[in-house]
Amino acid sequence: MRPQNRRDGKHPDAMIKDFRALLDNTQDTMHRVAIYSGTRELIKHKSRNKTYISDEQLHAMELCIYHGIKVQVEGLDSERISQMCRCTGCQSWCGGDRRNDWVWVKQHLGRCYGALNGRLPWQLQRLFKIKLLNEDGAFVEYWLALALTRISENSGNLDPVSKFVHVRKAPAAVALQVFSVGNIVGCAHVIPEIATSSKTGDGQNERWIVNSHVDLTTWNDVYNY
Amino acid sequence: MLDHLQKWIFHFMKTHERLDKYNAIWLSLPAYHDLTPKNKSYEEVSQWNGKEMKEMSQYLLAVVTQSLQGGSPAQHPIFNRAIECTWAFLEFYMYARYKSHDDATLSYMEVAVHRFHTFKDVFLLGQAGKKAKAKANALRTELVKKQKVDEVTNAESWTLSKKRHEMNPWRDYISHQIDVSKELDANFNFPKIHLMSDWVKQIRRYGALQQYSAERHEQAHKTNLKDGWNASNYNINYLPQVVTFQRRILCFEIRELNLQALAQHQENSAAACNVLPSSADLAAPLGSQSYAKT
Repeated sequence: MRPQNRRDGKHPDAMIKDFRALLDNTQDTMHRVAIYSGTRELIKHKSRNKTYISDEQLHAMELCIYHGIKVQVEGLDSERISQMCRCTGCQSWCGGDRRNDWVWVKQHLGRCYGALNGRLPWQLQRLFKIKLLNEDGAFVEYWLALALTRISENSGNLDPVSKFVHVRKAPAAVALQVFSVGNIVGCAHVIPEIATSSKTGDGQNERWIVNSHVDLTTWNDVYNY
Repeated sequence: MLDHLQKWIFHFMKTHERLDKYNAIWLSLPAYHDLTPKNKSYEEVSQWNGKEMKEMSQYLLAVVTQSLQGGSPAQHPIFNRAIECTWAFLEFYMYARYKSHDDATLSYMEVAVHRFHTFKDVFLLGQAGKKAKAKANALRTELVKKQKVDEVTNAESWTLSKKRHEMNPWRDYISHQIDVSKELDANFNFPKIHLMSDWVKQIRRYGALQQYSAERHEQAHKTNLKDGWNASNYNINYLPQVVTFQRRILCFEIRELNLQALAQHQENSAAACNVLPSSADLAAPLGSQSYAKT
């Protein structure tokens, strides 16, 4: 599973070469704060001595923006299926609207969140890779993603009438999260409750239903046992 | 069958004044892997091709469910029946797409068909054909005439508010009678709906339904006919050329498979390798290879 690179030098996102540039290019304050604090936390968690890195180090970190990630999913007959999750951030996709896909993010091992089996559908906002010098003097790369988080309703169980799982916006404190792309386990598809919101998921929409009929694999996974 | 379901749902949404919401949700569908966002609402699409139909089955139920959210308490049972019917049909459709089956999946298919038949009456109005609609229109004309006669008879005695008060029940009565007339004449007696009940038996006898997919034959039309036509001299005797071209392609494919099978056996591998082109031959530019005359 490796993110797909952009054509260098042809796209505004290709001009972002370090972490400071990413923060400067992020218009939304909430997103900027989430990227800064989330990345800092994640590096601390991954480091051996569990300490925060300095702001100078963080800002000077080499960075590369990606617009897609290929995820291997196991199909119904145990065949491997490649799924492409796209995330163009604020840029348009194919000359149209921006495209920030929904992905399944693994939260816990084992079966939890009812029918969702320990996964939650989150909406990607940014995909990036950072390169940093660790304590041993070697370069380490982290593939990270910023996503709008959603939480399940009714403990992730199917709604008795509609037979779909409902998800809604997470509380403001955890509404945006930075996580390792290794936690992405596939593409998700949700249908907004309020249709006036745009395709990018912005707007007043607060609730979505998880579309379990989008393919046979999802249909077999999102199911009350 | 998806085509029929699509029409029934459209009619149902129109009858229950949910078409705007249905179209709006259609437009706000997010992208998914190979599913691109829609540029046109449901109503704006004039013709559906096979791929679009297939894609539609991926989100139809979720869109219907979201469109029928809310509504008055009287509407809830009808809406739930519509969702149940769509759910049962698409469940059957999903099972039918399995590449292999066991007793459990076949029994689920049977249950889904049974549930579909239980709830399908909710879409009966959408199934009304031309004859039923014509009959309903004739009835409407007849009832409107009666309404007018009633209006003229009492024109002098009725005030404007009284007239409005008397006409409203007439209007409800006419629409109710038309619905009843359409329902009486509409039915689900067409071959495709009957075939659904036989599919489980078919699977038990002949295997999964994937092998009956028309896609293969459509693809074969391209490779078997179009490629042959393109390789012909477009003359009046093109048919034998198309057949010969196809036969040669098949011969090569069979030959290749035979050689591959031979190469798998150790004793024949040397002989097979002599016949198969080597990697050096393949890498060499065209024209530099020498072929032995047979």
